[in-house]
Amino acid sequence: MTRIGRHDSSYHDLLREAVSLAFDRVDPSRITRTYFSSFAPSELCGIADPIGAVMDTLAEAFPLLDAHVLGPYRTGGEALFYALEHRSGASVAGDTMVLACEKMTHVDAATAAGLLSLRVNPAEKLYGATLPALSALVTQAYLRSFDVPYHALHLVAAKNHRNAARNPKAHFQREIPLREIASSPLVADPLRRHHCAPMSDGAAACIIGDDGDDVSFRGWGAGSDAPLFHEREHLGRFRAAAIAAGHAFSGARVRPDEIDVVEVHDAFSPFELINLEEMGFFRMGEAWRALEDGELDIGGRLAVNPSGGMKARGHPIGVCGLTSVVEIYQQLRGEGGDRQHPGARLGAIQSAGGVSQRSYAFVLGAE
Amino acid sequence: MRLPRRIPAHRCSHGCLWLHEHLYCPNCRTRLERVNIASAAVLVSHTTVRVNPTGEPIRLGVARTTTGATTLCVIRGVVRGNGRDRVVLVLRDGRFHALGRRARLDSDWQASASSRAQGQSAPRRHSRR
Repeated sequence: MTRIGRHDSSYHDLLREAVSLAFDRVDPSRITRTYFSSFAPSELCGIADPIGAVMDTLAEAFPLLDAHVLGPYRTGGEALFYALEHRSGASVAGDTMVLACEKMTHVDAATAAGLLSLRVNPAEKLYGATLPALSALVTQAYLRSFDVPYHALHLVAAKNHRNAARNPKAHFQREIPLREIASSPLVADPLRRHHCAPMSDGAAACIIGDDGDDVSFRGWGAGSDAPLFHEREHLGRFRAAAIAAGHAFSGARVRPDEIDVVEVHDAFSPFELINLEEMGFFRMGEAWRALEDGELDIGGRLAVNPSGGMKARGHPIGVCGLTSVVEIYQQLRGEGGDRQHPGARLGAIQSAGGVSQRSYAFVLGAE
Repeated sequence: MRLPRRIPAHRCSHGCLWLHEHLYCPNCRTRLERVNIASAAVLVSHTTVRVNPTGEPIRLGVARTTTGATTLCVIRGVVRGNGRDRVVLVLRDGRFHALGRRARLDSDWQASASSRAQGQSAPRRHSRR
């Protein structure tokens, strides 16, 4: 995985760097298939044929690689899910690479905001709804329905910045005091700027094979919710995350309370709490108490977003999910450096698209 | 000025109500028929979007009618934002507007509402065709 943040290098350079880093451990000639993810390469970088661009870049840099490229998927989590599904359902020769890249910090905020609204259903975009707007409506409903105090959102952001300060590949490597979070400008009530993930550049690659790595995927799952946000059964809940996590945990034959470390979708701070609760780690409305007690810190009962999460590690949209897998993989191998969660043997990842219309969950375990 | 007391909706054979068009009921996959339902609703969630591509703040909410259908809506007038505000839904330019207390309707709105009250066709929502 490349460093996440602002990069002067091109989209293709980021791709090359991520693949080079992955090939430090794996023989490129073993790759037979690549699942590729990128949110909006044509709109953001003028790449009209992203699959062709990936194939050209890979062929140029790695002549031994003869990979069939599929995609582009919209998030790294989605690409990874389909790669695992394919490997489990078919006899696949060789290894599979899941590759994701995003370059978006070179466009101005208004352009990026317009592109992000590609994730909003056209029927809702008609109202001027943006992702932060819909996320704010989720947040209002969540806080009110489950009696969660507003300052819980500040605690999530502060914790993730604390973790990112220990992550050399994070976008923001500094802690942010609670008062700075609480006084940051409102984006959409009640969400403030420091409750929202930034736009970031970055790329990541993950190679799935049968070579006896001591960390392996134990289970995975996908879930979906109503395409129109306002038609959900409960505005303050993420049914998709609950379904995805249910499949992943049952596939892995583990219970949520056995997980040591988890990376969850936190494009907006309240999402971290909602996703943890929907995945079964806590009852609805109770995750914030564990957060306040320090149980979700590195070294606590359950380390949550040790990388800093999307909020602080960064949010290259099409790469998210895969960045989380890289973090959990490192944690389970004891390679987490300053942010290593002691004794991590089982890890989980939850990745979502839009306002959790689709969600993917994965369980990884160390031998 | 009198506002329309009913708004168009879609109902399946099992009674599910939808304010937005669907070819089939998202719950039970049966065909939907057009019905009119009461426009009284409760604003269950709301926000003011301060950073958006238009540059102007927008007040958005989700309203649930007394018959149980929900929709995204643009908020007009005063609401407390406690999840229990009573509003009246009005369909205009393909969007539902939730009118709270002291909602000020400009002359354009009044003309449009008057024409509907006089039996002229209401503005159509965006067509699927």
